[in-house]
Amino acid sequence: MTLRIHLRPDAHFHDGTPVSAPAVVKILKQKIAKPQSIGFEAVRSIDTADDGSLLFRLSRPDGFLTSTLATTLIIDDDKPDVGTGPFRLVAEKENLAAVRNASYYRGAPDIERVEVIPYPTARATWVRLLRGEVDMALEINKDSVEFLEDTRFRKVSSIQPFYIPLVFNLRNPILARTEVRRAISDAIDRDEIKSKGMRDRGQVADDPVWPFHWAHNPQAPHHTPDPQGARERLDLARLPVQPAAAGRRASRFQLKCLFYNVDPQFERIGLLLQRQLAAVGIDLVLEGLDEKELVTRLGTGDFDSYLFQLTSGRDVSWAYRFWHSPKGAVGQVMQNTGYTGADAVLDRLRQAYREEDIRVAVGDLRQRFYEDVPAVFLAWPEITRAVDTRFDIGNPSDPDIFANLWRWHVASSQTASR
Amino acid sequence: MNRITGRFVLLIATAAVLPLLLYGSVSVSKLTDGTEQSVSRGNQAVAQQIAAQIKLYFDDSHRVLASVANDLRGTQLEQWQQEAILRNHVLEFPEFREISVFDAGSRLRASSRLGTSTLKIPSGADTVNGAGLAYYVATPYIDADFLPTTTMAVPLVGASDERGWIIAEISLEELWRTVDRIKVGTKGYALLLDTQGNLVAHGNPNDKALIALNEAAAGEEKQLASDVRNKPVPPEARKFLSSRQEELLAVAAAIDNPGWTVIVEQPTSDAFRLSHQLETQLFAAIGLALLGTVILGWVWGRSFIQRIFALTRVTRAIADGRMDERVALSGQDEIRQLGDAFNSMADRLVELQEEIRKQERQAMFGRIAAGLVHDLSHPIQNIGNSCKLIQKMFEDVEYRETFKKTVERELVIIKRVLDDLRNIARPIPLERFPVDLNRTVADAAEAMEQHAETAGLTLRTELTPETLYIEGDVFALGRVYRNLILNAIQATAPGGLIVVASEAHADRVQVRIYDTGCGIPPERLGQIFEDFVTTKRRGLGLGLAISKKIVEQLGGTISVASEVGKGTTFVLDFPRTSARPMLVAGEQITPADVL
Repeated sequence: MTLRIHLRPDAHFHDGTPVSAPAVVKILKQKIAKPQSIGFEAVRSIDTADDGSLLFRLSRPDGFLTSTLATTLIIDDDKPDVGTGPFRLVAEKENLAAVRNASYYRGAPDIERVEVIPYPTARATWVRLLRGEVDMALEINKDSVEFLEDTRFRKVSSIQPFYIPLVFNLRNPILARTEVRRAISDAIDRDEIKSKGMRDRGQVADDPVWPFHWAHNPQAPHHTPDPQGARERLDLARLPVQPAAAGRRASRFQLKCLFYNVDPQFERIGLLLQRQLAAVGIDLVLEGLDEKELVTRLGTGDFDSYLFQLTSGRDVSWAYRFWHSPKGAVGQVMQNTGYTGADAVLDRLRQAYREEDIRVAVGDLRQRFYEDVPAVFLAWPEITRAVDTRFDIGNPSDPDIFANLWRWHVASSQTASR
Repeated sequence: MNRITGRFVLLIATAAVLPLLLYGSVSVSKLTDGTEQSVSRGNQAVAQQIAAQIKLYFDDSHRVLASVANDLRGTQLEQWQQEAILRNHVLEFPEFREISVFDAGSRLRASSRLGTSTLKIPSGADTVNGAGLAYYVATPYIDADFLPTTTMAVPLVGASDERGWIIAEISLEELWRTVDRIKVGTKGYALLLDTQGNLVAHGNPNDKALIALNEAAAGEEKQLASDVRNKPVPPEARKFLSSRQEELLAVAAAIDNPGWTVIVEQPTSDAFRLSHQLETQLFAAIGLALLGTVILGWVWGRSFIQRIFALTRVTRAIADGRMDERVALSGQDEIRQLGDAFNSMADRLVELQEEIRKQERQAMFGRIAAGLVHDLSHPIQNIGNSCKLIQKMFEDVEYRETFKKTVERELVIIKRVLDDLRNIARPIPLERFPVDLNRTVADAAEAMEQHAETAGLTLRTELTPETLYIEGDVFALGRVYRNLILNAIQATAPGGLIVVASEAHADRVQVRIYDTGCGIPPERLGQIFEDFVTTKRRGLGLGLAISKKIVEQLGGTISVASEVGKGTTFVLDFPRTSARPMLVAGEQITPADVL
């Protein structure tokens, strides 16, 4: 099986050399050769068909390859500062900085220089925004959005391809039982999570498929809170409420949950989950960790469940990486929770490359996640970006205004440097 | 614009606009004062309302915490149960970031925080007991995200083991939201100051960053907050300039607990916009009224003055003798009546002029007739008498000679009268040639000497020794001298003196005829050279007119000076000539030859 990719004839690297097939082949081979490389597992070889096109020879069909290619940086390891995008990275002491690529094939950006400054929290970001230290906040706190009313900043909100799940570790024998996970899912009121835990800035989730994916079918089944049904399921699972242990509430069982404690939102969501699960007799024990500790614990499998934010991406490849079990997976997967319930559908999804096949596979995947839940998919957070009105950002309904930074125009004469 | 029109316009404008301006000024003053008071009161009410809301916000928070305290007190709940209660409250009340319970020894008993609690009992919390307050709100601080945060402490009462504190960390974002929602007018906003005068919330979009920058309020704002809290009489609205040099109207309201202050600020341009609009409209109306009255006054004044001008034009025409000119004025007012009266007057003037002319013609005719009768009756009478005598003395040769001379002399007189009449109507034929002035004068005086003697007068000549020549006609000159000397003889009483003198000047010569007669009244001096004007009771009065005509034809002038009762002097002035007379048969022609 082969895949032919045509290069744009007018694309150039930042050093002015044309983006030719031999150059791209060289770079892709560099990427594939790296141990951490993922997404190229089906590629047997890459050759230049001619100067303007590449020929991939595949061992089997791989529907994720195009998205892998779309997110692969075409940067030669020998020239790490030379890419093909609208902005060229420049060396900076502290922050990431990029300057305008005047020969960008889609047109030279209006903004001359972009500097990305990291801040620990979204609240800290908008404070810096108000203090005039930055021109754009990539994400501002949900509570702070309304404070930007009547200011010189334009707010652009969108549902980004990230979701917040309560992920189960199926190595826990109780959680290994499908009916228990389903009961937990039924006990959760996602709307309350969204309204009280997320200040109504988000969208209820049912599964890890981004709602704006072209194959997403809104007619698929949705989870609705059913505490009574959850209690009945747990009773049927022979998990009655046990007498309270010392210092704990009486419960059917105790469920430990790790959560990301840097962002107060996760603590609030955790407390809400704790209250909702307590209502069906489950004692959720919350343990806050920072990102490093959390990743370590997840890597060792030392958890019953965790509450964090995961990426879905704008395609379904990330669903494969998060929810396919390591066994039989093509390439590396992101986690191992012991869940194998969707492996077959995910494999089929990966091999699908025709539109209809992909639609069917996505539908089957969502149905599978509904029936055999690997996690309680809670919500898609709404991200609000804020931009100084000195910038004309074009159509604010773009999927991501930051991704279209090259299309912005500077409305005033001030130099955009932040 | 002419002066009368200008005055007319000024009059109307002054009469109409001054009261309007006065009214406008008073209205604007009242409007400004009233608006300022009204806006200040309105903003004050807004500030008090915000202060009440903030107080209510903390009271509500206190009630929540009091409820928590009530749930915890005396129930012997386990710690997880207490924490569950605290967490439920944190979930239900988003303004609480954390609620923790401390015992009387300041030891942490329970916390809503999943991890380690960061709360402590704020210093100063003990003051609530002495002040009789239900809760204590600590001075806000800027948290790790540079946002204002505070803690509220509520004392737990009860048995000794139940005493302690409930401490809540309160996010002031919710409070800020309350302040942020306040809009006064289109640009007015509220801000909140803590007890130290630091900004807790700022409703001005351009100044929100001040909170993040942990800036204190401006000096004027801190002073206003201090005054509203400490002065027995709350200060009125104050005006001051913002950092952007914009004048602000600021009012303040104090909050009891916590001791914070709400300030409502509104740019005066926004606060008094309506007032300014009304002022502008009022001034525009006054301006339009002024313009209208000026235009109206100009139009009216112009129509008025145009008719005056028409009257003036016709008056001048009448004065210039164009008696048929009349004025036609529109309207029915007094000016029209004046025009009609003027036309009537002009008509009457024409009639009177015709009557005067008629009377003058009649008078002149009478005078001419009387003069002719006077001048001709005597020679005719003499001729008549001589004719009667010649019939009887025809045989007397000597008498016939006398008769001949008498008739010839009287005919000469008659002819002279007739010539005078003719010369009035036509130019006098003159033959100019150089003549010796003194000789002509001497000849004339000599010829008139007999008349003077007969009248008992002395006729004396005073001639220059120098011979004086002028371009003249000896016959005409003799006639002039005779007229003047004869007039002098007739005007001078017996015993009087008549002097005929000549004078020489550089390029002119003069002849003076002076008498000591009765003189001529001043009012008649100007007319004596006119035709048919005489100072004598009888005669045509043509002598002086003809004399003047002759003198002027010879290039000279004649003037007269007289004083009633003292005498009269006629002065003849001629240009000298360098030419010399031609001899006729060895002798010059003298006036006597023609007299």
